[in-house]
Amino acid sequence: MIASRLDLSIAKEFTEFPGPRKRTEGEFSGEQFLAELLRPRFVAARDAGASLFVELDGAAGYPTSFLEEAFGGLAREFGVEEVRRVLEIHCADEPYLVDQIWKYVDEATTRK
Amino acid sequence: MAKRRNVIVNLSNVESMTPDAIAGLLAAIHRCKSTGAHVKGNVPRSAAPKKMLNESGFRNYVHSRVGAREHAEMGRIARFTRSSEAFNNRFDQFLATDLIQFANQRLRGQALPHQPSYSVFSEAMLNTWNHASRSEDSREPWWASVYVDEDRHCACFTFLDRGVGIFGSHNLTLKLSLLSNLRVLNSAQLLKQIFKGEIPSTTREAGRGNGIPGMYAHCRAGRIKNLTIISNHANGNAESETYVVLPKEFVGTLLYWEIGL
Repeated sequence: MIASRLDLSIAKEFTEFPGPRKRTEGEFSGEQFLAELLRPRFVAARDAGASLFVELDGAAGYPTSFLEEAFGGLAREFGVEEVRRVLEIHCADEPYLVDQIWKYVDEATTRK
Repeated sequence: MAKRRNVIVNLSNVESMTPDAIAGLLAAIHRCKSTGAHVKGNVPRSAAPKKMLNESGFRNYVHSRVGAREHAEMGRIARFTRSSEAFNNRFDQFLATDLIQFANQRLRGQALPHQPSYSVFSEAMLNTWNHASRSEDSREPWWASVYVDEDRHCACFTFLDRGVGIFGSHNLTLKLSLLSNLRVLNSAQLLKQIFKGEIPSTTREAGRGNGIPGMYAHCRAGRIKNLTIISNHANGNAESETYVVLPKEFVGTLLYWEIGL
């Protein structure tokens, strides 16, 4: 059976205390999250024809650099269109974060 | 051998004090100490600033005579140093969480998170780590503090470093010099543009340059209050949208914001 949706909870599966952008800057970075969880889970969902439901609730907070590196990085690798097709983002704690992430995805390849 | 200097910090006539001044004072005192100076001081005679100083956590970082030490009921101060353990941990989300939970415990009776403040602390730490130092080989220490103002029912956060400041950052200076249309702007006007994300990222990498604009967005949306940045000759407040040029340079960068009930 092919799952129609894969789930990924950042707080439960990665950390409640998201860190900086790069591994060299500290623990639980966006770079680490992308490499260890987001990218593999995204590929699995895409290859299964499923969506990837990312849950942001339960964390102490999210540095903008963490979110940009993870989700912007995903879009830089797989393209904005593919990320928008596969990814679903949920955050009841801080709903504005959902729009913020989509902005990082849409602007992932834009140099300011 | 250089002669040691004595520095007297005379606060006795101070009539009013804001929480950000305490972190600034500690940073100045420790900078003096790092040069080998011997620092002594006193506390304000006036009740309100004396209470704030004693309850802020200030005394945890200075020697106080026995009997003069008081428990820091309303404030907490943390310092990132060049010590080996801290030096390897460039980003300390647990320290930020500790200050935020302390504030919410006092304000709301529960040690809750506050995600916008966590985000502001995070970006401030990264900016200091990546841009504030005068040389490639060293990193600038920083101070972070929170003070709960019972009268105003708010928690006041301060993040401070004594580095080169936003406008002393080599990359930014270089960038601004290339933007010929901005040459006529003073540092206060430039700070306004940095807040609004109108100054391009200095890294030339896609997706960068969201840190200070992200703080500004939190403030404009009301998620944090009274966001203020003082750096070099610029002083900007994102809530009131006031940006002024300081007559005297502030060495480093001071970030201040509040959360209410």
